[in-house]
Amino acid sequence: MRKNIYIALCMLSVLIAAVSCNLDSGQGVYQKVFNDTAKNYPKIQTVLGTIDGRIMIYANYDLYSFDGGQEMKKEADLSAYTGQNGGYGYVPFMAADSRIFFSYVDDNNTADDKSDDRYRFFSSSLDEIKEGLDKTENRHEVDVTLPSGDGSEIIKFNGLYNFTMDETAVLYTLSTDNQGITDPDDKITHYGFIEKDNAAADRFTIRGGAPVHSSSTIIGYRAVRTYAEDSEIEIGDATLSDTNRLYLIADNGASSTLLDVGDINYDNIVVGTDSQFFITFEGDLYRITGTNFQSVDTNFANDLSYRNNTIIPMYTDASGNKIGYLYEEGIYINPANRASDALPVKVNISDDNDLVTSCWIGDDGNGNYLMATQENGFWIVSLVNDNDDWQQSTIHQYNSEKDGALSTYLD
Amino acid sequence: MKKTLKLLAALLLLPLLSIGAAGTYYDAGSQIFNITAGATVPFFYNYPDRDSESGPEWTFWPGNGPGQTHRSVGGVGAISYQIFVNPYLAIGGELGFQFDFSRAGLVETNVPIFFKATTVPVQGRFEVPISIGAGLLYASYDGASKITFGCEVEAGIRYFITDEWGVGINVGLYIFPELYTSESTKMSTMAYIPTTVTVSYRH
Repeated sequence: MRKNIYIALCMLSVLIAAVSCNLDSGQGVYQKVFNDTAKNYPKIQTVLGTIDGRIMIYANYDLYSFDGGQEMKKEADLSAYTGQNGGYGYVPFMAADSRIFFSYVDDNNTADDKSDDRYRFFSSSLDEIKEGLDKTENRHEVDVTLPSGDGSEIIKFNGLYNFTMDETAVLYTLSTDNQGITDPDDKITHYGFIEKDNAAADRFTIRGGAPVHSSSTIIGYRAVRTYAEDSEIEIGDATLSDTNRLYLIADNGASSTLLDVGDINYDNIVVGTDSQFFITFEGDLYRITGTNFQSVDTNFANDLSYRNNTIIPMYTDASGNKIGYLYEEGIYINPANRASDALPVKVNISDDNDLVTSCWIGDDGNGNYLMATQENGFWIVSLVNDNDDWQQSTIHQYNSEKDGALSTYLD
Repeated sequence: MKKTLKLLAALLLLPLLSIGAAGTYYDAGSQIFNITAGATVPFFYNYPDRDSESGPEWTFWPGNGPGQTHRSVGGVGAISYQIFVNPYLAIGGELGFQFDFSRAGLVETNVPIFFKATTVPVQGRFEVPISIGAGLLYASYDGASKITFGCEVEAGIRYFITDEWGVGINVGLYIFPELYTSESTKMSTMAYIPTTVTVSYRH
């Protein structure tokens, strides 16, 4: 044994001698470690919604899903279609009915003449997406042909809202401007509905599209949300001629009527339910039913320090009894009808709530809330139970900064 | 840092004071086998060619700041085999594996293959081993690699539960210079403080 170890030590000596003769090989390993910087982890660009209980996430130009538990899974490579150099310019903006919805600009001559650009939309199932979006049979197109107007250029597509495969009404709006730039004379000139075409399954056509406020000057524009009572659709925060007003569009399926709710300087709108929706006004939360505008007791009125800050409502459940909102860079859930002496509950889904700058909230209808919060540019996705102690209810969090690249979660 | 140095000095000096205070257990030809595992703390990183505007040439401790080593606390494991050449001195070899993480979250690994000499001034059921080692080191990170040299000093205490089997704790210092002969701009030196637990078998 003793002899063996001496032999081994001799061999090591020979190795050392050999290495000594070739010391210049190597790549500066320690300097590489020292100088390496944090990787550009794929950041979540959009939380699209849920499909089969999984949060669908558009991140790093690809499509991921998160089950709210342990698994972050790359569903499809989209970068060839969505990346800046992808050549297609598809932007996924929503997940619903087991499909992902994309928008893109269709320019018939690739010239920089926005007046003849057309916004187009399509939806595809996950299987179709995996097969490739360059195949037209994998895209169920919605052709958005704008009403002929005054030649104004589309400067902004403001989104589709409340889309489901079974419902017919979807609101889209387009802002236009006669100079093609964002300036005080911008107009929300178009809105319309995308309807399911009964003659062709899974295909949709456009209906409606009467110009809105085409003669008024729009100074500011914020949110557009659907408001489903009697097919009314609310269009938000069109700031007309120095006056902030809220309008509702009542639509009976054939024609539309604009309802003027009144002068309000509200901050934001929560997605409504069948009978109500929520807005914030001077830091407090208000409920609108029809054209009735009433305060919701969130107990903030008892503390004047709250009143100068902005609540950003992000969510209401189907019954309208729970409201989720971003406030002072934290997330709160507040039963809309809770006792006036009860404070809103802060949902502690972050190690550092002070850095929460935006959030997304959804629910699965079974008391589980899916939340995505953005902190310092990174996102945390959490599944939170509805119980009395929100601060201990987090089941799992995915933190794109702390947990590393999404790829570490791939199957 | 002063506290750490004082602790190291105390661990090194204490057994020296105890030499001769106890009888010998080992004979020439006795063998000892160790399995070691524990944590490593980046102690310092010397980067002579660092741009002075970016930070100092000497950086210390784990962390991502300009004065820190840009490494995390890591782990280490090793096996060693030694033969006593006299009742107080054993020589042999050690194969180790050390890792930590960079700011990018990628793993850096060091594999030392060292000569190792250990003196055991206090021995018997309770022992105080003091070791030095030196030899080859294979370092790798994110596709880059280097075979260079390294050295270590280590002191510990161990207790033999039976005549053959013992457990111990150790603290030491790894110094891993990444050496080049002509490409001196690539040179730098990394040092770690390993704190480990050892299971020993002697015969």
